[in-house]
Amino acid sequence: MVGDAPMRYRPSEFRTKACWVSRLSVLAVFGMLAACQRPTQMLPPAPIFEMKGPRPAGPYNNQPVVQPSPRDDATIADFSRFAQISRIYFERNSAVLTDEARKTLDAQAEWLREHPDVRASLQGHADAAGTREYQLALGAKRAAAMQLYLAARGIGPDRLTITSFGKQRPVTRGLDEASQKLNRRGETVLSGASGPPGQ
Amino acid sequence: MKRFDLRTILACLPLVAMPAGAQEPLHVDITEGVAAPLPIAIPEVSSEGGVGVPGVHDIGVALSHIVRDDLLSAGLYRLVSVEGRLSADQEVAFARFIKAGAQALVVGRAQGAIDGSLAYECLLYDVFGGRLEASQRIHVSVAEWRRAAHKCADMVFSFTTGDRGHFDTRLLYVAEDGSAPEQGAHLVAADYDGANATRLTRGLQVVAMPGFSPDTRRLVFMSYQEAQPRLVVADLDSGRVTTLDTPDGVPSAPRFAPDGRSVVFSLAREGDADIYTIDLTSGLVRQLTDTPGTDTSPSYSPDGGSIVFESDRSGQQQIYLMAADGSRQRRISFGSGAYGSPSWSPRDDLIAYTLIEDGRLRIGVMRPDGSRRRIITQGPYDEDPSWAVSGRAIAFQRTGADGPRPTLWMTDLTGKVQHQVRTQGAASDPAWSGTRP
Repeated sequence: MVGDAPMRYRPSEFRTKACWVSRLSVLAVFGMLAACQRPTQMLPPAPIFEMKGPRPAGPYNNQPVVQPSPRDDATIADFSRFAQISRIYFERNSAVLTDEARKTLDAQAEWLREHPDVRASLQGHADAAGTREYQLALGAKRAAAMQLYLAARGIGPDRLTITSFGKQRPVTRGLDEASQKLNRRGETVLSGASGPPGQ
Repeated sequence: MKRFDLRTILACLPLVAMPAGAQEPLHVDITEGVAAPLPIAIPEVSSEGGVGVPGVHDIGVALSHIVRDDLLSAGLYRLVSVEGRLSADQEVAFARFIKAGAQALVVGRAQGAIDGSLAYECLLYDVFGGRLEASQRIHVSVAEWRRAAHKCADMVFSFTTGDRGHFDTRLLYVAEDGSAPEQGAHLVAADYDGANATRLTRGLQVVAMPGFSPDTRRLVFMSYQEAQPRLVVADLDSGRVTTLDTPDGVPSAPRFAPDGRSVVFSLAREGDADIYTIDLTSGLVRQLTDTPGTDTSPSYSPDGGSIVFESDRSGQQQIYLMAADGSRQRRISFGSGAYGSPSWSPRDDLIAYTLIEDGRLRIGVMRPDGSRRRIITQGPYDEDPSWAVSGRAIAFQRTGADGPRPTLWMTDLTGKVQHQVRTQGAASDPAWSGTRP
């Protein structure tokens, strides 16, 4: 799929993660169950709640997911380049950007300035060495630090959304320090055009 | 309060010769979670093919085994074995139970199924007094036949402890789908013992931090939509799902208020996380904390008057209390290590928490004033304590003891009686329900 020559990006060719359907109703109820006669005290079987929308970024899948506007001229090569720089790492229980992380974010900022139509989701992650709720907040703090840094490099906050997966989406399951280091990360996932297509 | 009546009655009984201590009523005394186990006999009672449930050979025997498993998991009873099996219509002769050393005797009799329903007679005897202390005729649908045993065990538990039983309850958890990169998660609701697991959500989405409403009819949880977490309330009766309109930011850690009318949660924005509530009728959002740092894991006291939460405002995660309106915030955890994920017991006497110390996560309990802290699990990664409605057991998640995948466990308050809950594959984020409707 990825040829030698830069090729125009077309959504059908790019491996997107699940469907990019951003305007589906958030949740739809599946399977309203027909009421049936039961002894008292009985609840009907629990319905299955259909959780719609695209999947979140898989931990190993670093490929950007993009819905470009028609005028966007980013190429496969561009996205591959971004994929190399889409992840930064943090110290334990810290949201302070390391020198290396700053360098990577500088490169991200440069790329994002070249492609003003592309938006990004800043996703904070944390290791297993803390409680679930605290690690989620830590991930949000890491994503906020990334946003602040990118904003100072000219990337408007309207192009960046902040989210956190805490310890829910580890890159690796190992509980040793070498593995956990990889989970203390911030990912910049390209997430589409900043304006509605055609504008 | 039946058991107080019983005490009075027993006190008035003329005492005949019996082993020392046998004059005590059927009551388990529990101090700081430590109990003198009550010797209890739970004989198999055959239904002799009178009641048929597909896939179960003898439902009477199967039910007596579930009653045994339930009561023994509480750590408050000692099973007294008695040879042989009773038949459903047999008179109960106490002599051999006295001889075996049982003080309490539970007899459950499965009776005819009419229109797909099962009748189960549950009887609790005082063996020495030779008298019936409590009885209940339980009706359940055949499909939910296991509930008959759980209800019977609940009756025995509540009579002998004075607390609500936690056996006829549900456990909510997050199960993992597949593996990376196509990894997702879905919500599962199961009986407290892991049986009858039902998948509640579909779609390769991340869901997290589920909790039951106090009446067990609704759920609240985090659901990621386009990588953004939202708080969602799902109604188990109607199947309706509502996404809560929380302010901008990353919401997490939702929990129902005891009246079920609002949800308390943490909201992270600009690197700061604070506690908020949202009214489920009006949508009104109130901010309760505003100090710099991370405030999260809110949990209401049973009366709804106070909230316990964790905060790193002192530089390290510690546990704090505040009034439900956010006033009177004060720290209650001190000592070495960091403290997180507090959860207030339904009995109001204890707060469970996770201690983060020396690279380990362990579950502990303390009084609501922060005194009498004690650790009851050994880790290495034990977290997410969730109380049983009895306030006598805690469900939690354990990782790292047997591989890196999370598993679900239950413990009594001494930590001596622990068992793993059967789940299909990895499971995390346990949330224990109140009494089932």
